[in-house]
Amino acid sequence: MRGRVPLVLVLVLLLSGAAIWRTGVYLNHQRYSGDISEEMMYFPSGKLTEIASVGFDSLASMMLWLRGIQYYGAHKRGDQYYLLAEHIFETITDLDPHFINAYRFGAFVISQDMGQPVGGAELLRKGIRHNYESWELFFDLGFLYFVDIDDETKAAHYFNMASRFPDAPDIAKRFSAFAYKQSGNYAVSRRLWEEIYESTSNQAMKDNAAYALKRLDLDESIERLNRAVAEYEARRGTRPSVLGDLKSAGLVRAIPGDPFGGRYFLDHVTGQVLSTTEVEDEAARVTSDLQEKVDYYREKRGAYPESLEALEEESLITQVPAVRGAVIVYNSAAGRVRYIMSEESKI
Amino acid sequence: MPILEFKDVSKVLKSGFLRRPVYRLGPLNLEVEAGEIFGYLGPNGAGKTTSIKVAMGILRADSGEVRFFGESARGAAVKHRVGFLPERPYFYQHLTAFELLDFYGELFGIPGRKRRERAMNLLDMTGLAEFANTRLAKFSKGMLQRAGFAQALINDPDVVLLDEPLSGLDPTGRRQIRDLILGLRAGGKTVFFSSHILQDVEMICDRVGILLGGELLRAATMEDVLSETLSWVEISVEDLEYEAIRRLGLGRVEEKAGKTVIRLGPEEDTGEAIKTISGLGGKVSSVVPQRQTLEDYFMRNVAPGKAEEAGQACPADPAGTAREPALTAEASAALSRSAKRKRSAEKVGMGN
Amino acid sequence: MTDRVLAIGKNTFREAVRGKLFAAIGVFGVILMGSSAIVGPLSLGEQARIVQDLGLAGMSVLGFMVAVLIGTGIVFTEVERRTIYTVIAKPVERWQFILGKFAGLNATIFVLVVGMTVILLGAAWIEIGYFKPQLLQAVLLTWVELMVLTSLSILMSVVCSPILGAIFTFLLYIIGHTSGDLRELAQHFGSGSAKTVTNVAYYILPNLEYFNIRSKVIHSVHVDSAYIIFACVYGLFYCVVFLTIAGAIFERKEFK
Repeated sequence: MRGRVPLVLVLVLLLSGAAIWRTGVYLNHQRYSGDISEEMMYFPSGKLTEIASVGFDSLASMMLWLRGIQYYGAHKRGDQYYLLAEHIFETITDLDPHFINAYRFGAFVISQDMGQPVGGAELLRKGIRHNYESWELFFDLGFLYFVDIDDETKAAHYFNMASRFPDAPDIAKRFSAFAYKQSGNYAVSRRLWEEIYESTSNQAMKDNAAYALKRLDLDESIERLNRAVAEYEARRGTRPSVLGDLKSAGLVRAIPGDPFGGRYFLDHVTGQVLSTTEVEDEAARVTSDLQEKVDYYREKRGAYPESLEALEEESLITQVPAVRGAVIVYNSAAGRVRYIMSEESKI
Repeated sequence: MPILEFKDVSKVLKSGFLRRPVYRLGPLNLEVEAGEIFGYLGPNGAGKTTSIKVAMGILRADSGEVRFFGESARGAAVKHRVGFLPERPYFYQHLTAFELLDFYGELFGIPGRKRRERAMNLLDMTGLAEFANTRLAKFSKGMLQRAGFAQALINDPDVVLLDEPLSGLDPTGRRQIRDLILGLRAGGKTVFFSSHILQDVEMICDRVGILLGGELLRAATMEDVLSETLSWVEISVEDLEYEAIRRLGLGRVEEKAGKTVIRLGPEEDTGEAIKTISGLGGKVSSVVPQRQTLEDYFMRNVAPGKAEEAGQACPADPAGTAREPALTAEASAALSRSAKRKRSAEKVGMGN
Repeated sequence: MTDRVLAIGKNTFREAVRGKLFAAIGVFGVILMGSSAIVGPLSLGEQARIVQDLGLAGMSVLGFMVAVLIGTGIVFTEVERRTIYTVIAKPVERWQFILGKFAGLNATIFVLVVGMTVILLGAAWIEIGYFKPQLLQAVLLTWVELMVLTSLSILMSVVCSPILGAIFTFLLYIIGHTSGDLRELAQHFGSGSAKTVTNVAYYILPNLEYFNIRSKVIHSVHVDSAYIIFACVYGLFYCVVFLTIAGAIFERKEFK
């Protein structure tokens, strides 16, 4: 009897473990990969949350913050739509108006990731209303105006206000000076991003700053190369056929690789310098968008469209998009949209 | 076949953070025959409760086995025929006496009507009938003991194990329980109970087991044990000079509370002594038989080395060694009469 | 055999229900339900939601309190007060004892939940104007969650004192509700060790959030019956695990 019992016990535990695993997988899938309407469920309206939090506002705002950054992370890797971001950060800051980082990160997401700097500025201004001694919020506002809205005057104004606070670091003063002097977009932007990179403890923002700096490098390189191409044309009367010509002509010391690991090349169609990374990014986006529309066409009409132009008939697109540096290819039999990099990019 | 049997039962109780062995029992070998009242004697800490707990499955023996009716005590099935009353019982406070018995009856699987009938009968028998619907929270200690007795019998068991059933009760209570135990034997049941007071055991037991420091020193009939416990008689003498009394050479002479007292050993004839004293003109104002407590018994019968050991193994128990109140001459006579009766019953052959 | 379990269950239920704690919680439950009538009008149009939110959440919290406050002591106090001696002396298997305790405690919580559900349905009917049977889905999963917590409390009760047990159960309750979120976070932003720790917590401990379909139900979003069934199975098997462990430990226990 003694010997038999442990065996039965072990079997029961194993069986239960298996059942738990199996059902858990199903439940996990249901729970964490829902669509947007499901996501709404996790972010109740601010008013209601306030009432329900009865005394635990700060805790509730923290829980929402956790949900919020989870939301951000999920969408950053996914569709890169952040429709709920404004709502989320509104609610968090409603619950806890002194949650400075919520304003900062929220504004960041809204203006940078969602491309809505006005909304971001709104959030920061709300933050300032509740926290008029926070130099960070003024600083961020200046940053936002400079980088996203391109309004150097306003940016300088805010940098200036930020610098007036006793605990504001020197950097605020220096940016104020830069902005007023307008000593070149790239230099200031670069310094701003570097500042963010150095000072933030928010890993997501750090990653974003690193990315932004790389992009700045890329933009700067392209601009320099374009200038060199124009110089070449001016001197020789024709455009160079490949970027290597610039080097042989002594106009540039070397052709750099792009900071994301791709190559720069000269696009014969537009005469512009492009980077393979940029081209691939855009081509991939356009392709997947078209693919979605093709699939949708099939659902509605019962068959794949004969060509991409057919999508115009269904008003799915206004015209077939073109991507610089790549060609969109469509196979109507299989209903597949792909892209091919242009010849020049391969040199 | 013995109705209850301990075979080479050993148990070490550990205590404290480091699990240091604090107490050892065994190896214990003991047999209880059907139909007898067996008294399990020992000072507090000797291991009586431990033995009973092992038998009931509350503790597990490190080695050896306990058997009921020849079957292992481990199984749940054998418990259908066994009744148990723990030491200083404590029951579910939220239940009434009746509900308690009903609940325990349910645990035996006794069908409803029979169960309820038995519960009422048992409450009657233990004198708790009027408290049947009173919550146990309101019960006095004596009432709890009696309720405990009742629940031990709810399944009409063949053998009943009682752990210190008489402790802490007033004389009336003790009498009641003793009578109940005798009633059980009359009904053909076997009773095994533990106590640290020789008096109680002596009055009703057929056989006795003596436990000391985890070891069973003796298992014998009541008669044998009685004759071994040293007892003496104290004769208070007046109107006679101390020296004169001493010269009589009768036992030991002491001054006690202003009186002269002679202590006579069991081998000395009380009657003779009284005659001698009266012959000399002395007056015997009282004759008081004294029985030593179990503690004294052990101190005398166990070698000094062992006594020390016993002292270490058994935690000191201030309450346990209280002497019984002195018996009057009448009571002591009644005692010896009942002892005689038992001895003759023994001879008739009620087991050994 | 089951009659022993039922007998012990009945006794456990009686003890819980006759106790002051249960009465207090019951009163509190009624007050909570009633308060939603007061808070409702203050919420600027969200009456219906508040009533349902408070009702369902309240049920969960109060049930949890009963499970923890009564459950974590349920075996321990029997051992401490030695009422357990007489029960062990009866022909009852140790696992039957544990199962009986579980049944009794569940019955107690069930009574509480039913009472509050009736009031909830009534209050919801008043606020929204119609009977909303979907609420029962949320109630069902809440009850399954409470069963898991009950079985956990009983396991604690076998192993340690009520206070320690209550602390552990409470901790596991919190972990149970946040492990899902934390694991998702760790997947996106976490370091290797964060991922490992949250994964372990997530897979071994019950994810109590699965039982929370309150927001969906309140917003009248349809919940698949498949989901409900899976969640019930998930919960029941956790009960099996916890009770099996409790039974195994209790089997070996000795009582001084």
